[in-house]
Amino acid sequence: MRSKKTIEKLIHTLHDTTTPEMDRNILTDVAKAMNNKKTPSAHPPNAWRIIMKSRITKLAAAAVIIVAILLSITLLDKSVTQAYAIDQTIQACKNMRFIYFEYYTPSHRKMKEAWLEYDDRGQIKNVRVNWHWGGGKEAVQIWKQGKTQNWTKHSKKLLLFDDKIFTGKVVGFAQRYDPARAIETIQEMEKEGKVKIKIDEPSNKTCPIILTAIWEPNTFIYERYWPQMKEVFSIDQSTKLVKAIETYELEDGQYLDQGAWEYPDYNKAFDSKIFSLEDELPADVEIIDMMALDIGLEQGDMTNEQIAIKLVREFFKALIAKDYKAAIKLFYHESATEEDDIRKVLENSHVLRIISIDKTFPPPPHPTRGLLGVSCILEIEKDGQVVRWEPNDVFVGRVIGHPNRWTVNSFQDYR
Amino acid sequence: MLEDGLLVLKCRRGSKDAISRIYKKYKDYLLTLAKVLLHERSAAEDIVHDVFVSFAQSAGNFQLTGSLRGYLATCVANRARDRLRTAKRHPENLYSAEQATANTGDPQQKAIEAEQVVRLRDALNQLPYEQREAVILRVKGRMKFREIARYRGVSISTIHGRYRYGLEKLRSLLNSEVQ
Repeated sequence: MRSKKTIEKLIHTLHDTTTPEMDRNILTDVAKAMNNKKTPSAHPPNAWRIIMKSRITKLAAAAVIIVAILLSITLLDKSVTQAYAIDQTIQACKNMRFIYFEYYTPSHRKMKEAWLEYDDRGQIKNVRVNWHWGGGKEAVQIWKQGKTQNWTKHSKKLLLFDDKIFTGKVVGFAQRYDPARAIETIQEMEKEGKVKIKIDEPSNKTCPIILTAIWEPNTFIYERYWPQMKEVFSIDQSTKLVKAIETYELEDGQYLDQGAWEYPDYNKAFDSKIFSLEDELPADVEIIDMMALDIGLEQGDMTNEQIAIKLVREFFKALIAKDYKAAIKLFYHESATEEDDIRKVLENSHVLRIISIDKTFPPPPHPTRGLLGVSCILEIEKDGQVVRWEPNDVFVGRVIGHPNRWTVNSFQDYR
Repeated sequence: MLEDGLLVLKCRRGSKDAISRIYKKYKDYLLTLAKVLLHERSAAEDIVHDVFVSFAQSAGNFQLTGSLRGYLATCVANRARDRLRTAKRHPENLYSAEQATANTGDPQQKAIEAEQVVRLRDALNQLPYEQREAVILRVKGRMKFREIARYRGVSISTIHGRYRYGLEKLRSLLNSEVQ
């Protein structure tokens, strides 16, 4: 038998070591972050006071100012340099049939790459996204004219579905990461007061033009709400093509790096097999037709708020009645094989009574939380005691492949 | 502690060497905490990265009120918690692979660890998150119950309870495997 002391000692033995690559990446990013921040000086010298102490320096300063004014007037007068205009980039990036890009996390790990193919009219035709999660975890999503295949390699699952709302998101994705459309959208947003744009055009022609777009918080675009974002477009001075888009999210008054999209090639035709999984799927992959899954609660004529409240009530009622089959049907999942795991989680919830479930609230600006949050007050058994529980992360949303049905997507805070 | 205070002071003045020394001093410790909390190596690495980059960004205005070790540990725990919440979210977009890939072990990593440590990690992963957090911050993080309670915004007795139940459950899980 192990005592608590022995377990504590065992916990002390846990040790993970960073890899040299991880150290290198982190220290590089830390150095960059240090360079970007302003270092406060304990006693900044007051230049004005120093100058004004002496009569000679007063005269010298006045002379310098006059010369500077005269020089700048002369230079401005002669300046004929063509300033960069956003439309130049829109024109340069427009009408691309093939767009390939890679996404790097803030630690410079390539996490995904995407292939977008557009038709003659500039409409999105095919999309492929390869996900590299690290640790051998990989996934592929292919969207072809409305139908989606989602293959998670390590779990050997292939999801098939046809969903108008998902298609809307794919179109949004294609629009967001097609540089011409992304910049057009930013321009539109600027006109609507949702974005402020700043352009820095360095005189050194080898350096990229930097276009910075600062978003207003909680902007709804591309089928979802966004937090306050900053996007930094690096634009090649000679071709005017976008080479990279860095994204940042404002958190606690600071913009935190969210990674970068890089565009190594433009308009290079893809291999025709890139949008087919036929030659890639292993024989033992589990094929799940989401369209055949009986899941969720039908919305019918109810508004989003009404279905959200009804769904969460029914879900918790099922948990109170220990009717886990009914509860699982109302909880988001993708195949019958997941039901045992979900059941274990639900059995652990120990919900005793609903005190109130009567309000919805918009989800935080994050892509995957669902459409609505639902305020709940419940009574649960926790650590052997009956306690009041007000979870703040009960979120609900539509089911993939069944846009008229809704499920509970998360309720984890009670743990 | 004194050394940490000096390093923080140097960081405030923009010393890259100081932040590099803080990183080297605490990197393995923080990675261990993050891996226990998330049970996934690559996610744990990302958390440690984000904690240090964020620390570097705010170093100019950083005021150390408690221990640096405790501060960094709570940063890791906060981000791990956010990350777990994210992993439970609905995959109704092109991010759907994230949920499917969360929380599965890394067999290669496991193979090289001692058997009992593997069992301990698996047992820790079976604890409710709040209990796991209380146990790891108390034992591995060497934080006081008072510090954990302040960081979580709950009473000391709640943290005591989480710790006690967590350790009890670990004991029961590990002993049942022995039998």
